[in-house]
Amino acid sequence: MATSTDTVERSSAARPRAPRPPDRARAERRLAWKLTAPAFVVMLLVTAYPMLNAVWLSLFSYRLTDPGARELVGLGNYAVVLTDALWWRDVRTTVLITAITVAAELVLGMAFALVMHRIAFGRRVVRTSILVPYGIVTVVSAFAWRYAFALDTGFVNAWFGLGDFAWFSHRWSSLFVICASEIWKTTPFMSLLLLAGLAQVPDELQEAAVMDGATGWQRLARVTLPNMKATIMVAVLFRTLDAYRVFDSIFVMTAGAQDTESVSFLAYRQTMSRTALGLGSAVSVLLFLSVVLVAVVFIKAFKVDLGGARGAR
Amino acid sequence: MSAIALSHIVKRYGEGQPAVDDVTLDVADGELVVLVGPSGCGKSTILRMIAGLEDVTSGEVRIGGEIANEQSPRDRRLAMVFQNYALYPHLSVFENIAFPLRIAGKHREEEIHRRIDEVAALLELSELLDRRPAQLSGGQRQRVAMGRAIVREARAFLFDEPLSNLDAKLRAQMRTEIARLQRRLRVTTVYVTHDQVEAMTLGDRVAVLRKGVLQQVDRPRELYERPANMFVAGFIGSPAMNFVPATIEDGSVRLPFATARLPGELLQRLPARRLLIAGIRPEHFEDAALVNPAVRPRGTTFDASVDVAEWVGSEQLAYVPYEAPSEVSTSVRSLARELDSEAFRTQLVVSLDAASSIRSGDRAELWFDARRMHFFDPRSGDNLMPDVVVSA
Amino acid sequence: MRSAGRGASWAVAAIAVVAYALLPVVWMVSLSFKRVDDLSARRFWPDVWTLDSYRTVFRTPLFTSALRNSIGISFIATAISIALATFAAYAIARLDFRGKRLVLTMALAVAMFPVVSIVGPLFDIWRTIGLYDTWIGLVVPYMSFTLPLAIWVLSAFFRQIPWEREQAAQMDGATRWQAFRKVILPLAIPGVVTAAILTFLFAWNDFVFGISLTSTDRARPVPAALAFFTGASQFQHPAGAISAAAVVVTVPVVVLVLVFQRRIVAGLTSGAVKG
Repeated sequence: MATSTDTVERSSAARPRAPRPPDRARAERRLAWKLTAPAFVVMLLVTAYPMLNAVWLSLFSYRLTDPGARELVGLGNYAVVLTDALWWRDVRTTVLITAITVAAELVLGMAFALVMHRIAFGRRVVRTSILVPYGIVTVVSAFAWRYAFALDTGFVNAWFGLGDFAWFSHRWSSLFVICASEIWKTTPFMSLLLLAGLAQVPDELQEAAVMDGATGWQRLARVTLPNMKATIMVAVLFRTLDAYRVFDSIFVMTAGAQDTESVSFLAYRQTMSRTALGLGSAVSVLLFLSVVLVAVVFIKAFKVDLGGARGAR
Repeated sequence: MSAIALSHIVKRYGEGQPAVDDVTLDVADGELVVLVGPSGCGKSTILRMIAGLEDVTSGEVRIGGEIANEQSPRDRRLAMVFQNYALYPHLSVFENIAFPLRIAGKHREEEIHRRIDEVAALLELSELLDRRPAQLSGGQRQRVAMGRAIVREARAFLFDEPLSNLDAKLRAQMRTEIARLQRRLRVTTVYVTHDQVEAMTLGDRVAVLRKGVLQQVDRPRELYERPANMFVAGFIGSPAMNFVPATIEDGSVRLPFATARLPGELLQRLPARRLLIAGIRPEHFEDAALVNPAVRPRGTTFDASVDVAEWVGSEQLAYVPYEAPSEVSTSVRSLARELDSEAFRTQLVVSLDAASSIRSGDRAELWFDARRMHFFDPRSGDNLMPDVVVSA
Repeated sequence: MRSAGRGASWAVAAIAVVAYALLPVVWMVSLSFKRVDDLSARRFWPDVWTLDSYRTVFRTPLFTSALRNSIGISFIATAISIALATFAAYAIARLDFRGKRLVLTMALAVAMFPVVSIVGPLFDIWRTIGLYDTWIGLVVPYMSFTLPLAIWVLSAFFRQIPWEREQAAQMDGATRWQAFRKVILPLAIPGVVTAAILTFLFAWNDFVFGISLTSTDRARPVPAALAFFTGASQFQHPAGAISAAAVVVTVPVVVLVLVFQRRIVAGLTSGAVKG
C-alpha cells in the first residue's frame, strides 16, 4: 500500500485548519482525483457506456434475428411504446406493486423497529432473525412463496380452507403473492433503517410526552414519527426506486402472465425473448428515465436529505 | 391537595447495592424540597419514581394522600422539567407549551390560546411563541420547558437538574427566576440537583443523599451549621470543609497545626485520647492581622506557611499544608478511601478577607474560632455533637 | 421505563417478528426434505423426511457448476470493487476536493440504475466481442452495482474513523507507517470486511444478468440456474430439487449473515444502502 503511505504523508501534512498554501490544496486535490479516478472511470464505463448504447439502439428498428434489416427510425420506437396499451398497463402494474410494497414495508418495518427498540431481552435474537430474509436470494424467496401458494405444492390453500383456488390464475391473487414475497424479503432492511432513525429520537422526548399525558399511540404519532421524518423519507426513496424495478419475483412466479408484467419485465421480454433490440432498448431507456424522474421528484419536492438521515454518522 | 410522601422507598436493579435504599421523605403541600448529592446518589431515580417513570421495588409513594405506586405517569398529573428540557424540536414554542392541552383533547381552541398567552406573559415568552426550540437560547428553552409544566396546572412540579446545561451566570439568573416562580405559584416542588449552591438557595428544605441513602433532611441553615455527618459537612459549603485529625489531650484539642482550647462543657462530650476528625470551614479562618482585637482572644492563632494563595476579588483562598504524624495520616488516608472523600489531603483550605496581604509562599499568622469546629467519629463519620450550634 | 404487564405483549410481538422472518425459510427446508411424490401433498411438513432432493441436486452438473460460477464471479466482482472503492473512499473521507459530492452522487445514481436497461446492449456487445457466457462477461456488469455500493458503504465507514488518532500516535513517537498500521488499519479493516460482505451478498443475488448473458453452465450463476432447473427428470416436479438447491445456496449465506450480523447492521444503517 505504498500509495496510502504517500497519501497519509500528504494529507496529514495538509490537515491543519488554517488556510493552506494553495499548492498544498492543489496537491491534495490532485491526489484525490488520482485515487477516485479508477472507480469513477469503471463506473462510467460499466453503466454509462451500455446505457448510451441502449439509447443509440433505441433509435433503430433492430431485430437480432435479422441484423441486416436494421434501419434508423429515430423516435419511432418511442412512439410505438408510448402509444401501446400494453406499456401503460405495465406501468400501472408497476406503480401498483411499488405503492403496495413500499407502504406495507413502511408500516411493517416501523412496527418491527418499534419491537426491536422496546424489548430489552432477546433483542439480539430478533435482530438476527430479521437479517435472515436479507441473506436470502430474491429468486429463492420467490420460489418459496410460489410453492407455498401453488396449487400442486402449496399448503396455504389447505391451511386456510381455500380448496382449489388457483392463486396464479388471477391477476389480483398473483399480485398478492408477488408483493408478499417482495415485502417479506425487504421489510427487514427497512426496519433496520427505521430502527436507526428511531434510536436517534431522544428518550427524553418520549418521557416528556408521557409526563404530558400522551398515550402510546399519541406519542408515536405526535412525537416519534415527526422526529423521524428524514429517515423515513430516505427509506421510502430507496425502496421506491428499488420496487419500481421489480423483476425477479415476477419472472419466477408468473413470467408476466395474468397481467402482472412490470416495466422491467417488459424490457427484458422485448430485448431477450423477442430479440427486438430496438424496441426493447426504447423501453429500457424509458424505464431509466422513470427511475430518474422519481428520484428527482423525491429529492427536490420532498427535500430528502440523503446525508442527514443516516443512523450512525 | 398535593403533598408528596415517600415511605421506605427502595429501588433495586438486579443484585448488588440498591440505587435507592430505604428513603423516607415528606414534601408538604406548596413546599420546595431539593434532593441533592453527587452523581449516582439516587436523587434522579427518586424523582423518576415519584413521576412514575421508574417502578418502585418496595415502599410507598403517596401523592395527595393516595398511593400512587401503580398509577401511570399520566394519571399522577405531575409536571416534569428535564435536564435537557426535552422540548419537541418539530413544534413551535406555542405548540410545545400547548402539547399537554392538545393531548388531553378536552380544551377548546380559545381556551388553549388564553392559557398559553397567560403562561407566556408570566415567563416573558410572548414574543417567542412562533419560534422553534432550535432558535432559542438556553435560558429561553428552560422557560419554555417550565411553561409546558405550568400550563398543565399539575399537582406538583418535578425538576431534574434543569440548570446543569447553562453557564454559570445564566444559572444564577434562572435560579432566582425559578425561586420567584415557585413562591408565586405555591406549587409543591421536588427539585433535583448536584449543585449544593442551588440546593441551599432554592430549597425550603434540602435532602442530602449519598449512594442511595438519605443522609439528612433539614433547612439549609441547619445543614450548614449542624451537619449530621462528615459527608453532609463536606458536601455543603464551598470551598469544602477541612477535615483534620484531632485528639483531645490535657483538656485541649490537639490539631496537626495548632492546639485549641474548647469550653469545658463541649470538651466533656468528646472522648479523650482517641483519634477524632475535626471539621473547620475555610470561612472560619482569618488572617490574624485582620482580626478585630476584641474578637481575637476567642480563637486560636497559629503560624502557617502558605503554599498557594488565590485572590479572586471577593476573597482570598490560601492553601496551607500541614504535617500530620505518619500513623495518623495513614489512618486518615484509609478513611478517605473508605468514605470516598477528597477532603483529606494534608492541607488546609482557608478563605481570608480580600484585603489580606498574604501571598503565595508567605509565612503568616492565621486565626480560627475553635468553637466553630465540628467533631466527627472517624469510623462512622457521624457528628459527635449534632445539636450544638455555635453562633458567632 | 415501566415494564410490568406491557412486557408480555412486546414479547409476543417479538415472537411474531421472528416467526415472520423464518417461516418461508422453514418452508423451503421442509420442501427440500420431501419425497418427490410428497410434494403435491399440500402439507407443510414432509410425510417422510428424505435426502432424495439433495442427492439429485448434487448429481446435477448444472447446479454444482452454478455454485462454482456464483462463488467465483461474486468473489472476483467483490474483490475488484472493494479494491477500487477503498481508494476512492479513502479520498472521500480524508481529502478535500470539489468532486467529492459528484462521486458520491454518481455512486448513488448508478446504484439506483435499472440493470435491465443495459442487458440488451451488453448482450449485443458481448456476443460481438466473445464475452458472452463467460465469467468476465458477468463480472463487468456486476460492477455496475457492486462498485457504487462498495464506495457508499466504505466512505460511510471511513468517515467514522478518528483520523486524528493517527497524528496523535505520531506525536507519541510512532512513524507514519506505524501509526497507520496500529491505529488506522484495525479501525478500517472491520469496515472493509463489512463492505466486502454486503457487496458479495449483492453480487450473489443477481438474477437479470445471470439469465441474459449466459446460456450454458459455463458461467451461469445459481439464481439463474434455479430458474431453469427441471429436477431429476423432465417428468418430475422440480420443486423438491429447487428447494434443496435453494437451501444449499442459502445456508452458507445465512450463516455468513448471522456471524457478521452486528457488522452488517452497522454497515446498512450507516450507509442507508440498497437492500
